[in-house]
Amino acid sequence: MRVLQLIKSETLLVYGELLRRKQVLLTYIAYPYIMTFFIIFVGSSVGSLENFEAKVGVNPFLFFIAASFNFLVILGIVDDVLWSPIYDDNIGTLPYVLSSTTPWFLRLLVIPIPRLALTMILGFTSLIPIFTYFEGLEGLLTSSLIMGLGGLAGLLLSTFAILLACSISMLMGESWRLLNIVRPLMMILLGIYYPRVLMPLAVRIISYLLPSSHVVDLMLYTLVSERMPEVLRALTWLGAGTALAVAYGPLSYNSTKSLETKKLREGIKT
Amino acid sequence: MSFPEKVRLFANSAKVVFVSYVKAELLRSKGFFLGLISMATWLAILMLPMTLFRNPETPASIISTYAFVGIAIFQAYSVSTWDWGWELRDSLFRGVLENVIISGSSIFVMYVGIIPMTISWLALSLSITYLMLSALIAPPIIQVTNPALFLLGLFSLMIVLFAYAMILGSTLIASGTSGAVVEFVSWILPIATGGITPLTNLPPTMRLIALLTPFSYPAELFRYSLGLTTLILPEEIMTAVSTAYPTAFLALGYLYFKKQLHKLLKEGVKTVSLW
Repeated sequence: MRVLQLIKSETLLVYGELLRRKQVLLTYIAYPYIMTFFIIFVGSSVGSLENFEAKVGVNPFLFFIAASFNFLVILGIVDDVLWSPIYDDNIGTLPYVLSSTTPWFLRLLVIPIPRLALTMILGFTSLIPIFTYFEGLEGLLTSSLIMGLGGLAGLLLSTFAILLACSISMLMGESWRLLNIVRPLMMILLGIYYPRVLMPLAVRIISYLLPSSHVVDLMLYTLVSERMPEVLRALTWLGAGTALAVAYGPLSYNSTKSLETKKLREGIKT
Repeated sequence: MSFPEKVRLFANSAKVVFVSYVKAELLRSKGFFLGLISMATWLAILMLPMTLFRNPETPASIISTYAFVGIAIFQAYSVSTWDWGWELRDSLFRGVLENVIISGSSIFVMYVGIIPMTISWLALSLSITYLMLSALIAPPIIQVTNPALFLLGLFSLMIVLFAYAMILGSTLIASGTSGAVVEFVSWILPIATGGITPLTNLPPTMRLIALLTPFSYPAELFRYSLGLTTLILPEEIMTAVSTAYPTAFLALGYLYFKKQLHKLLKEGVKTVSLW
């Protein structure tokens, strides 16, 4: 019951804010298009769309709209988890969060759930129109699959995001600036805009440790092969991602507890 | 107060602004350096996929040079949007702007103090971009083929961006426009006005739109003086327009700024939210 109440209040908070500030909502919807056109624009001025298609094996418009969708969905789902300890500290709500009977870890774990609906909003406004335009009914199916995988990629990153957010707050000062380095780095390692297969081996190994990178890989495979992935292949990727997300669970729980203990011992600096 | 005294007071105030920024951003926190690393990482997200468009026969250094100039112009726009335009909203949020207004000092004091910081920031961020491109693609080749036009392009780009910052900043303090919209504008503007791609590469309609704005001329001169593109208008016309249009835009920006400031003082602040 407590979890449902938490999800309900988080939902009201997120969508109340989103509907109240329509400019933010509209910008969020416009972002996949902006990112896609920005990259294609600059990319085609230094090369050509044909070169891209020859190298990657997929229409650049489809690739970049899917990549931008993933980028925004994953950030939209986990970004508030990443910022939460710093944000609560800055606005002075951390004492209330820590003194609440609801465990902090549970509160952080619930944050991504209402934001999953963002996947639907963004998918309907970016993926479906572009994919249907280029590929017709088949594109509609592909975009629906990508929407599902995008939501899953965001959700699977939650435990890792909690671990990251709490570890940064725990170990470093000026943590928001550091987080601003770690966030884009994490997005590169996920292989969203630059496929993992093209990365150097050392970088690829780090990328394998991120739960969502396997889901992103599955998505790229679906795009490039232009067909539904085989069951075994899909299960391997999804299994690897889920296993990693679960494995990060105890670590992220411990990191939240350690940060909580540290804050209680040292007091909250404003 | 005599004119020399006014100038001395203005210079002193600008110096105070500059020193406080240096202390806050460079000495007290590591924000400046961490911010640069952060920016380099964000840039890598955008730069890496651009290598996928490359023709295998085109030398990597040419691709890198195009990308460097495009990103340099984008960063100049970015500085204008966030360091100059957004700074007004930020200082309003932090309660600094009302103190500046009450003190009777000019708001431009803040700009004069910030500009050296901005130029250092831009120079450093371009160095990081250069290093990133060298590591990821190939070192960009920067060869100025026409120094006079290069300087004219640089100067008119600064004028245009300063005028744009005045228009954006004064709109932000006098209206309730949110930061998300500004972020949107900061992406669209360089693309739509030919800041990132040579005008010859733009579709005809977009080229026409770009030519109607004052932004396209300095960027095009810039690229031309680096030997990266051919001009779509005769050189004499480009030179004349690149001088006259930015100047007129600056005058318009200043008038608009004064009008919005007057509106702010008369009607009060529309929003206290930063974002």
